[in-house]
Amino acid sequence: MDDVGTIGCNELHAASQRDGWTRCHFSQSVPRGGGIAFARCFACVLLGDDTGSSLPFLSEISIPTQGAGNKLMTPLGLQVCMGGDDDLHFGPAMVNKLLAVAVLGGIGFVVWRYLCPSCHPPKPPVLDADEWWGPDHLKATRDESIKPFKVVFKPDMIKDLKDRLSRARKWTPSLEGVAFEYGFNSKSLEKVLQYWKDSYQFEAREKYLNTYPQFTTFIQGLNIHFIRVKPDATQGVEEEEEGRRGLIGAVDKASLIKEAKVQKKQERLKRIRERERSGQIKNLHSERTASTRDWSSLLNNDFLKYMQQVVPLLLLHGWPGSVREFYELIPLLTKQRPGRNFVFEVVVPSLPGYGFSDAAVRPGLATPQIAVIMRNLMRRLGHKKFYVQGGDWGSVIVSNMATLFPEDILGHHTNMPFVQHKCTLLKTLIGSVFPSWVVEEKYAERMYPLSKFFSFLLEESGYLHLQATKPDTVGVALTDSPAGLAAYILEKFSTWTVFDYKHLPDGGLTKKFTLDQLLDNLMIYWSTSSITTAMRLYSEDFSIKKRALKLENIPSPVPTWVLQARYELAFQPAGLLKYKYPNLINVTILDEGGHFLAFEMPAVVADDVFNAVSAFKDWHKNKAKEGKTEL
Amino acid sequence: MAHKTLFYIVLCVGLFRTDAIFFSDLSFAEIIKIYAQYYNEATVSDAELSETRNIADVVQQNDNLYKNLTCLIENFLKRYVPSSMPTLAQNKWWGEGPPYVDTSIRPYEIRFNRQVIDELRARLAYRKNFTRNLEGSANTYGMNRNLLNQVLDYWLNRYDFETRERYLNRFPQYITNVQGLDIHYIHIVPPPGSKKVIPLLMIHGWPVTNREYYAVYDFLLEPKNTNFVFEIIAPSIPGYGYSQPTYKIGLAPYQVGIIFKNLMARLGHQKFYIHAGDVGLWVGSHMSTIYQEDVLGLHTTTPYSAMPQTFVKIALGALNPTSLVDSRYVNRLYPLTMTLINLIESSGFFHMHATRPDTLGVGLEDSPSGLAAWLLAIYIQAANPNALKRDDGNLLQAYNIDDILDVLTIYWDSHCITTSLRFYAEFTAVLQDPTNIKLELTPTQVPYGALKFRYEVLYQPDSLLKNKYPNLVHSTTLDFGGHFSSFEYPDVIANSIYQAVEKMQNFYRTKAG
Repeated sequence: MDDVGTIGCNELHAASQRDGWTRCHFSQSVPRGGGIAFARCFACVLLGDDTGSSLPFLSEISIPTQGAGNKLMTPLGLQVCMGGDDDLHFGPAMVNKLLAVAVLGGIGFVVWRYLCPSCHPPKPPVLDADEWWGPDHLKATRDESIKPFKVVFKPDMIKDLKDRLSRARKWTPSLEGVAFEYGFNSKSLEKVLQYWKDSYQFEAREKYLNTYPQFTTFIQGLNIHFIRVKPDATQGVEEEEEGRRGLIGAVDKASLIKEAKVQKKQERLKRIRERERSGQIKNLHSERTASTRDWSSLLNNDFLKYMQQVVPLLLLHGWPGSVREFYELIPLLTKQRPGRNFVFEVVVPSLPGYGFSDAAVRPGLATPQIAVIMRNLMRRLGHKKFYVQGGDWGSVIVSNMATLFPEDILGHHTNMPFVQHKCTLLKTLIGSVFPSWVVEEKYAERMYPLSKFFSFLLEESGYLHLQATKPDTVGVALTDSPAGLAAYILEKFSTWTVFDYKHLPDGGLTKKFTLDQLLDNLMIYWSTSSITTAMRLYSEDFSIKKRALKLENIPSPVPTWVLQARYELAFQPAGLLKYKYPNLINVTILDEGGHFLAFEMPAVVADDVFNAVSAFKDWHKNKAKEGKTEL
Repeated sequence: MAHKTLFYIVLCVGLFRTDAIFFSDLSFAEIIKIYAQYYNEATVSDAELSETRNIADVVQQNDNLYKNLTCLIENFLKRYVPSSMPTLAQNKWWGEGPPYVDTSIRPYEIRFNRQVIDELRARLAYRKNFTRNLEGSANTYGMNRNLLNQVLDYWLNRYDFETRERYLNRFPQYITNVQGLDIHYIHIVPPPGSKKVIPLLMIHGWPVTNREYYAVYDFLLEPKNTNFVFEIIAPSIPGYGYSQPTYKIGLAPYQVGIIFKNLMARLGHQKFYIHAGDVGLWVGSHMSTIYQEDVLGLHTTTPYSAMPQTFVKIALGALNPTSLVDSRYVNRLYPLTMTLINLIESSGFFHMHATRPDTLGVGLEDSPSGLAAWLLAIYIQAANPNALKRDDGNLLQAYNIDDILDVLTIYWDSHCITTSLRFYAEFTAVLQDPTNIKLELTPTQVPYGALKFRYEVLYQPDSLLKNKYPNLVHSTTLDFGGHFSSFEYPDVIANSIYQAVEKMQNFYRTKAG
């Protein structure tokens, strides 16, 4: 008997060769787990599983020797050794589990073979680009102007808010020893409300919220509010003009040069004609030289900006966030960086029904319809093609944009990828039996066991269930009570930042954010009374009408870059994401960070977005070389 | 909200179970170990194994596919039914500070705190302008703004707090301290006479207090052609109305059951009957499971069984609904998808109560309008879910608005909304306290009476109810009424209680004979 060492299994003690069999000894043994272990072993062998994570339950297995140091390769020769105390026991329990695997496999195969749409990817539906969400009587309005906007905290509103906060009753004490497990802790709530009432500087914060140029414009019946920041623009006046020209929106250098040439040529012809008329024309050659000089001067000034490439980027927030989530990120994206030949012009809209954007007056404004509105917004700003980034609902909307308008979206960056493609779900299920097939071992705990994930979801999704079914009911209390709104919204900034913060008496609220930051966001909801309309997005997006679009099953060809924070609500490895995003370029996996990533770690997000867009550009270049696109 | 219980159990327990068996990374032995912690059953016994082998015989006896499958699975599922009752502490201390004994019984009258009422009115008067409902959405996205404002205006201007206070004090009320908590209860002793006096414990639901059964008391007290009269004891659940809340984790329904048992003992009733509905059903059902000798009979609205075989039969019944349910009532349970969708549609509030009661409670404590919306939406839904499509929600037609506002005023005055919501969280804290599930899964021999109204979201035929209550002696299925029928049809409930108790007494006579 000579040991051949381990075969890569953690639990493996040793393997030895004897009688033409390789015999593997495992440290763990569970008598009744034999059936599934057998299946796992089988799978392990089939898959050439090196990690051995699927082999924890067998005490000893034997495989025919194929030479020294061989891997488990031949399923047919696999033999389960029985003996000693670790007898395999094929009781009904195990039969049941084996049966489960078989049934699962059978169903899986059928679904995979016949239902998986990868062979016939469905075409994206065409949505009405002018669907009207405002009141009917405004339908005649054709107002395409872009109006400057400023956040105003009216004195009345502040007084009313402070009145309501000071009228607060004595909150029901939290249960003994309970932090945030039953919801917002009452002691912690008192402190937050105290700060809001007495220490929050309404005027200073209002001024801060007006740091960036903001506008509203009327789209499909709704006034949409957005922040627009250009790299070198500190003033918010002439943007509109430039935006209309549609030059900044175009990132294509070649077409820019072409356009500039045409323009120059026309100007020169014009000048020549003028001079002809005035009899000044003498030397055509020298004129031509002058013109060339003009052109190069253009290159030096405006055009350099184009060379530098200002690329448009749409940033979308989610619930219970607002544009405020991006205030720390915006300057990092609009500042030029060494080693980058591009910089961003960012457009940060409030979603319809959120904060300063109007809400729909009739049912149906779900994420695909918001995607249409956002595209119309970008078009109005002169951006026919642009990059998108989103988190929470923002990520769903940008994903929908990439699905519905693959021609317009140059690249798709998301920090909350959650693919619900059929194949993804199926593979996730199968992965619960064979995790190593789906996810790297070190990230497996973010996905499996599924029961843990489901119970986590179940515990966290009460708000979602509520908002997806009866948003108006809970909305009354949250519209009427600032304390209620604070508890409802801020709870998410505790638990979703780090899951375990719910065990801290103060919810760890100020560990990653300042109270000012959190209350700014809250003020956007309170001052606009928009919590009900914001929550309705859940009802719309879970509606039968929206689900019938089945966008989750339509792959998007747009190059995609994914940023996954440690405490994002769901984790999916690249293998699962690719069903929806076949051109997935990269996945950045972080060991920290939570759901509100742009808010919490703006530097990390900014770096990642720069990396992503750089890669998107290369991807387009390569594509162009292949002659498949115009870029 | 018992039907939502079912839903939650399907999700929470069922999901965990099937998931644990089919999809988890646990070996079966590990799963068994986990269940052993739940059920004190360390291993699957040989007897159970042989039982499973007998399935072949069973299959031969029935050639009906449905029956075969049911038997097969039922046999298999029997292992999940705990064989022994857990030993439960009968005197756990829920009060603050060190335990003491105070058995005094103090008379109590409801006196709304004037300051609180003035403040309530001020808040109602200065309520915000609530968000417009979407065009044509009526009550389907939640509370309709116009309807809400209508009720709030009534509460502010026309609801007469003093008259209602007098109405609320119509019945003798007391407070006594049980296990550290002051329990508020109504105690109606019948005038002395020749008839036998039967003690009846009545347990209310959410969002109500012992105010729920005021009209039912009247009908129960009316003289009837029976040889018995009722002595009514109707406590409020701790944390509801004027019963003191606990600030300790774990006051689950069965713990409330223990408190109520002790309360009954203090009042001199070792054996008694129970009527219960909504969350009170959890208490009543668990009491009749724990104290099978002492509870003489259980009568409830929203009857349900959460036994594993019940779910399996419901699922299999989808193949041939009429094999399970009388054809008249088939549409109350099937198509199953519709039932499930309706459950999901209507159980958002349950999910929130069960997971984050304190967060939600803040807004409801601070805003009477918010509280009203939250409760009214439940009442609308409960009376008839189809009415959600109507702007008026059929609210004022189905209920006497004063009844509802009594409840709202009690909730506001006693500041109990958050503590009342926590009851759901304790009920569903199955991982922390498996006793809840264990009791759900233990059948009780106590004779049972079921009253099924038309618009209960949950309907189960008697054959399924027998999984949990083998001695089902009385069952009435009605073509009207909703979940809070104690407001809508108090006479029907009172009659049904009388009938059920008569049948239960016959049951005991037959048994003795």
